Amino acid sequence: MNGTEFQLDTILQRTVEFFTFKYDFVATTLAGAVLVGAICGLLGVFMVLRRLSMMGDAIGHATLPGVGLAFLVVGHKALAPMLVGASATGLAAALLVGFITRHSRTRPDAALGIVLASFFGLGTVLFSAIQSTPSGAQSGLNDFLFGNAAAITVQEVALLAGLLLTTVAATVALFRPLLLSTFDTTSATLMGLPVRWIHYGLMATVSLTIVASVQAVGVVLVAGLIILPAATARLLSDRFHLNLILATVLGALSGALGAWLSFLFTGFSSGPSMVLAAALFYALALALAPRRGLLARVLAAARRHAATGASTPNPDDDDRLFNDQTADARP
Amino acid sequence: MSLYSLFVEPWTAGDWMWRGVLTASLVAVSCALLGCFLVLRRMSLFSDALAHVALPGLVGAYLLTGSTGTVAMFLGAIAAALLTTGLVSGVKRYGGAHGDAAIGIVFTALFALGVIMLSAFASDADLDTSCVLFGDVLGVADHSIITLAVLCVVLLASVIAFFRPLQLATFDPAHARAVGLPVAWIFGGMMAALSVTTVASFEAVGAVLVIAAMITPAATAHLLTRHLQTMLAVAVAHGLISAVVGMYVSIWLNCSTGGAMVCVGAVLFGLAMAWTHLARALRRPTLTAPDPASFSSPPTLESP
Amino acid sequence: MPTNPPALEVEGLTLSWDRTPVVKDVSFALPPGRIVGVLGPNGAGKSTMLKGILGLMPRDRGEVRAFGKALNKVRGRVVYVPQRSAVDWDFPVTVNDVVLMGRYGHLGLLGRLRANDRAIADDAMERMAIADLRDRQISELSGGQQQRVFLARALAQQGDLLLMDEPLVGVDARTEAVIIDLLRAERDAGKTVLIVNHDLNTAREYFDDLLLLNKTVIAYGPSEAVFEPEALARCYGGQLAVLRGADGARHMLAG
Repeated sequence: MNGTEFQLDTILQRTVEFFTFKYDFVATTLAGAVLVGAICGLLGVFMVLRRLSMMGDAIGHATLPGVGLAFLVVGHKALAPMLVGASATGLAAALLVGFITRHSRTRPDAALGIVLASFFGLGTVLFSAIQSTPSGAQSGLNDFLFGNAAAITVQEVALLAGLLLTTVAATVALFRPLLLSTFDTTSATLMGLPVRWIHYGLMATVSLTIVASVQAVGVVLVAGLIILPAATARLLSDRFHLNLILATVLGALSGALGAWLSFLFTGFSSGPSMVLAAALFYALALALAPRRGLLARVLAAARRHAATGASTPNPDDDDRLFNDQTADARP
Repeated sequence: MSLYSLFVEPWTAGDWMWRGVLTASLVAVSCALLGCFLVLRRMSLFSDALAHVALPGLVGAYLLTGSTGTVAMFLGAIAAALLTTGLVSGVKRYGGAHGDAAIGIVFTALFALGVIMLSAFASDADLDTSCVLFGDVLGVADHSIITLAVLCVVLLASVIAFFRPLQLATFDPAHARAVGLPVAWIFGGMMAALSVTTVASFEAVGAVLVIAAMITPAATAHLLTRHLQTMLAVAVAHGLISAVVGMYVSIWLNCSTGGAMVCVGAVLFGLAMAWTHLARALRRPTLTAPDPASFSSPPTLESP
Repeated sequence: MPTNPPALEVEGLTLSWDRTPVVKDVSFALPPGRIVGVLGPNGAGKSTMLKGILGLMPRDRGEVRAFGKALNKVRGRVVYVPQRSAVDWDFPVTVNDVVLMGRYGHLGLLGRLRANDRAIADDAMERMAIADLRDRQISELSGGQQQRVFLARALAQQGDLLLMDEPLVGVDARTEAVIIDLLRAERDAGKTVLIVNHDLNTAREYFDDLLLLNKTVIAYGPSEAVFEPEALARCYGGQLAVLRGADGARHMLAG
């Protein structure tokens, strides 16, 4: 093994250091990671249920040209213009995906891929025009891609806290419109709800969240933090409001666990650590969830078998990987 | 700035121009061909997924074999791709997630794993993350160009030779299965081809831009036609134009070549979208009320 | 202005899908207090017409009025029940949650549900015989139960014009009976129901009026008058088969 130590006493010692905030930066790191996880988890429920799971990936990649533009306009590295630029291009990307889908034959998944890659391509052009290679300061790039929660500042924690509070307040206040527009957009439109504006509001919130989260999680993995806690919550509960609460809590826990892991071991960036933690929770739920988990299903099948004396076919038995898409052109 | 200096001179200043254009063209053609099938099956995000899971594939291959040679890399990428498709299936069936969410769950988790594997266990390997992400069209080695050329030829030959089965499996897999086509093998082969092409293209255009090379040409072609042969041809043309024009743009603006190619491709897509709207507006049918008395025979049904 | 405007007026409605006209120049007027069935072969544009009427699809041409006014002025009075396949059944909501959604139109953006709303929802569930299922997640229900949930939601909306897309597809006999009873009760209370239906055989029994559609209106009027061989032949073309059963009754199959 190179670069990383895995001795137990070191691990224990570092854990104690972490949770007793022995170093100043640990408090901000932990707070930042927990907040990022919580807000991504909460928004993730809406994104996944609206079939916009990969929008987080697209928005994340689309922040690159925004940062580049801020650079070009301001002339040097400054936080506020970069956040503004990143949010602007992120939101533009989100809206463009919808625009392309509505105004052409292009399907949402293709539109998403085009926007994701094109914006990122534009970003690489901008950065390469600014300096001779797109990588520039290597560590800066790595942080942008994979996150570095240890570098979160107190101001960013405050921003994240504000964002989380606002989102929770909006979710509570607009719970019913959000639920209806997510579940049944058609009925929501017919009942006169401002469905378009709800969508724009959600996209704007997600864009801000992603921009704020990139510092901790990195651009490439923020999508994982949006999807995984929501998917885990779905396995654990059939109630909408519980899904929201569980996803937020699971996201926060993933953040904490990830920050702890990246503190323990060098070579464990915070972004991948947080996503792995979230994936671990998902895997646990997949296996052990009360009704939807694998163990529960196996037990239920065994009970069915014992009751009827014959094996009943598994109703999920069809290969859906290639079958639940349909081609939409004539040969 | 004469036309000569803009268009002709780059070719005379050493061999990097034709090498770059050749590399980019090979990547563009290979990706455009595969991309058509992805877009038609609504599996565009698989290009995103495979581009990302190639990382744990490559790192895994390195950790297992100790080599960063081409064969090890390709095998690692294929293994990762097959693992991904298996896990996505499993997640769809048992994990309560559908469509894009299932793909996202699997590839973000695997990518996170890959990043940690790389930085924690394989930091001495010769895998430069920024190179993988952004590529370097002008600096591609001879053996890589040969690999890309072979890949391109194999893909072209396969698409031509197996056109009918591919067409049927793409548009109506149930029917294809019913007439005995080995649909699972066809899709497995496609996944393998995708992962190999993805990895081979990293060096040239980088991971994220491979996605553009696969989806944008196919999506543009899809806007303009619904016939598979035409779609493949248009996609290839789109890819080639993006490659050459992108190359020139990157010279004029002195910027990233891969990025310029992607931007040109996006502009072409936008033009195609504008064109379809223009065509629709010009072709708006003139409306006259049908005369009920003219129904001597039942009205024929056109497919909606 | 007529004192009793038609529940629904459609004039010259034309809709295209990808440059091909799917619905051409459809015009009709529904008086209030009728149950109207829309019949036609597959691909005739029935569902599309419904979506076009409601503004869920862009119109090439045409005007639609409900109760003499534009649709967005009478939102609370028009209720739409889509096809069952249009719903995400995996969504984490219970039957009760879905039926309560019928009351959201009356609440506005920030309103809260009141006891009255819950009572209306409970009553709707009782009428559709699903009260005992109220805490079940919607994917746990049978096809017929699911359809009844959506009808309960429609009831809870307390609209005056109901537009339904194939509500009787794939439902059990009991559900079908419950639904038809409900619709008759609504009609008797003065409401208007427009149903896109798939089955010809029950047309005369279930519907007061019939609209035969094959891209355009082939015939429209009271069922007894419209449901006759010549009009049906014009509507269905070669896609109609008439079988005579052992009991002498005629059974029709339409493709």
